[in-house]
Amino acid sequence: MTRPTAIIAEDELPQRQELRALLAELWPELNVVAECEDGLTALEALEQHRPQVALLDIRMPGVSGLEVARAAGTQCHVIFVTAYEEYALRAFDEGAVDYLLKPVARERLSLAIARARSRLNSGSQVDMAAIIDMVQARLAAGGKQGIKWITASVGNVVKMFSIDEVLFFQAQDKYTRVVTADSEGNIRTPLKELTAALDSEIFWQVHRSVIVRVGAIRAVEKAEDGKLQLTVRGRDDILPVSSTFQHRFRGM
Amino acid sequence: MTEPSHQLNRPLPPDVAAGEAAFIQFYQKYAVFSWPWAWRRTAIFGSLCVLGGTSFGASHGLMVRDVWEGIEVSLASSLSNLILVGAGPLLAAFFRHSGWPRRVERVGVVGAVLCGMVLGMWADRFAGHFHDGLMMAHGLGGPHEALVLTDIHSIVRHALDMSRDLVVLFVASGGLAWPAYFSESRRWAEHRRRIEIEKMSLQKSEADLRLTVLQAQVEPHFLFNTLASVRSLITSDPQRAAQTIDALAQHLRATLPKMRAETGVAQSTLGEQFAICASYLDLMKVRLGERLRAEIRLPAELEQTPFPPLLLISLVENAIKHGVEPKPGATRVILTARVVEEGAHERLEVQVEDDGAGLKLGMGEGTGLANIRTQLLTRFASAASLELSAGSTGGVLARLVLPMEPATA
Repeated sequence: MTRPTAIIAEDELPQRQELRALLAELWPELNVVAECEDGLTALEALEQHRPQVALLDIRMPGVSGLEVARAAGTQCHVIFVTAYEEYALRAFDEGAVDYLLKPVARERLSLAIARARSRLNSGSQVDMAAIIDMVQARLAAGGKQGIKWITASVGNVVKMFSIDEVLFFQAQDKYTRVVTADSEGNIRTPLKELTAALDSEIFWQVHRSVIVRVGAIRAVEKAEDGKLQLTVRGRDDILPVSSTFQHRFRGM
Repeated sequence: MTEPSHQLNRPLPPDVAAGEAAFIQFYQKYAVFSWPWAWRRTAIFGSLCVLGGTSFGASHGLMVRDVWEGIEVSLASSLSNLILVGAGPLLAAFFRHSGWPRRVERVGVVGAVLCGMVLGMWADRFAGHFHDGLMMAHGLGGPHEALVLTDIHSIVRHALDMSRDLVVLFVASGGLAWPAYFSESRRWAEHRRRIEIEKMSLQKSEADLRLTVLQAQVEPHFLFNTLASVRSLITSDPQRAAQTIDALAQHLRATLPKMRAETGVAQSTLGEQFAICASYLDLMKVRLGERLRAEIRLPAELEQTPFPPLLLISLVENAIKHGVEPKPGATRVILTARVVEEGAHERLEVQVEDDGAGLKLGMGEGTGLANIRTQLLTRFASAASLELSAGSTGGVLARLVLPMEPATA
């Protein structure tokens, strides 16, 4: 019988070494064919070695462990190694997604090895894609805090604007202008995405192409063609207000 | 009425003082009806009164062609004017400084102004009689018509004259300062509240920042990864494991909030803050090995420069979390501090630069940077700034500019 093969993907060297030492001790016949220090190398190793087992840190530079597992598909048995994401993994059937918590305890690793062995012997395969989608959704939901910064390109440089400084956003071709009192930059985030993320009490969408800070509006007036337009404090720009959003200014 | 700790003889804080115009500031910057207020007010309006009295006397002297008589009229007129503007406020100041209970003081101050009006009226009358007497001696002018209230017109005229005189007397004796006097305690209360709010907002933003740093420290990834590293080092390199535990302890000690209540706003030095960052970077170097290189450049003469706590470590943590950790391969973090000339002022510039993953266009959620901005705003108003831009070698350059404060001993 050929020895089972495995890859280890962990970006921190001391932990990688320890994992390897523990594996050598607890699963001596396992052949660790590659040790990877980031997600990209892990993807390459996966392609190159086609291992039966993959031990993957979730947070890695470049490509996350979850993405690597997604690429592995049904090809190998995955054991995630994580410092914290167990809250996103815990709910799943332990047989389908196995995970180890850092620092990795010897007993827990033994158990994971036992499970991996039995799975390899039975030849059963699990498609991880659906599970990974759910884990990613959970991770994303855990980190929601609300927008504080806009990172935009100003000419050739990239600058960060505090959201408190931003007076308005204006869609232009494939860019979105981010305008403050004394500067402006471009982002690629579409207005639709911004509307969803911004505080709707503070920023109003007044036109298909404009989101404006309510507190910065200087005047709303009727243009010669009868359409509404507005100006903001500290800028000369004249922004259009479309008829669908005119109700917001009744009584102002 | 007055702040117990505030000396009546010292200028008031600008937001408590009653007047705003520059020349009025000369006396309005003091508490209304305090000695400095009364003396300065008397000096300003008194000199105008003396000027008026002197020119009146001079015109009299010219008219009767008698220098001595001109001087006499000048003196009498100036003196009566001085009493008119000085008596009320100075008497009121006497009551204000008497240290009597507030109620008595208020009555005294009101009474003093009324008393000043009466005195001013008498003085004016005396000077008027004196002048009339002189005029009569020269055969000029005649005795005042006797007050005859025969018809409605003369009654109305006299009533108007009297009320005009009363208004002049009231204004001259300091009656207009009553509202400012009575509202002074309210202005003090507002002043206290404003100071309190400023202090609280500074403390709040500092607490927020501390919380963010704390969250980063006990952030499970940081803590468990560090523990996992230590654990692996225990067998492979025990000495390094011990060093790592020391660095972790030192780092937690510097960043965990003190359990005893801290009063006021915490202050630290640039040297201390750089040391905290150095121990954090050491810790990260143990974990990341070759992937992380750190350079720290702090000129020795800047070590004792006062520097707010937690700002720098937040920036370094950001560089690690968003720059170094997500980027495959080797990265570098450089901390520098130097003095830069900005116009006539010396400013302290502190930079954290990395060549890591760099800024990602779009929206960001980090509260750490927002907290730093709030800290800077509450501590230094507009005198400090934080800028983030793309670094010269990819990555991010965070540039903090603060007013240069003299080194603490």
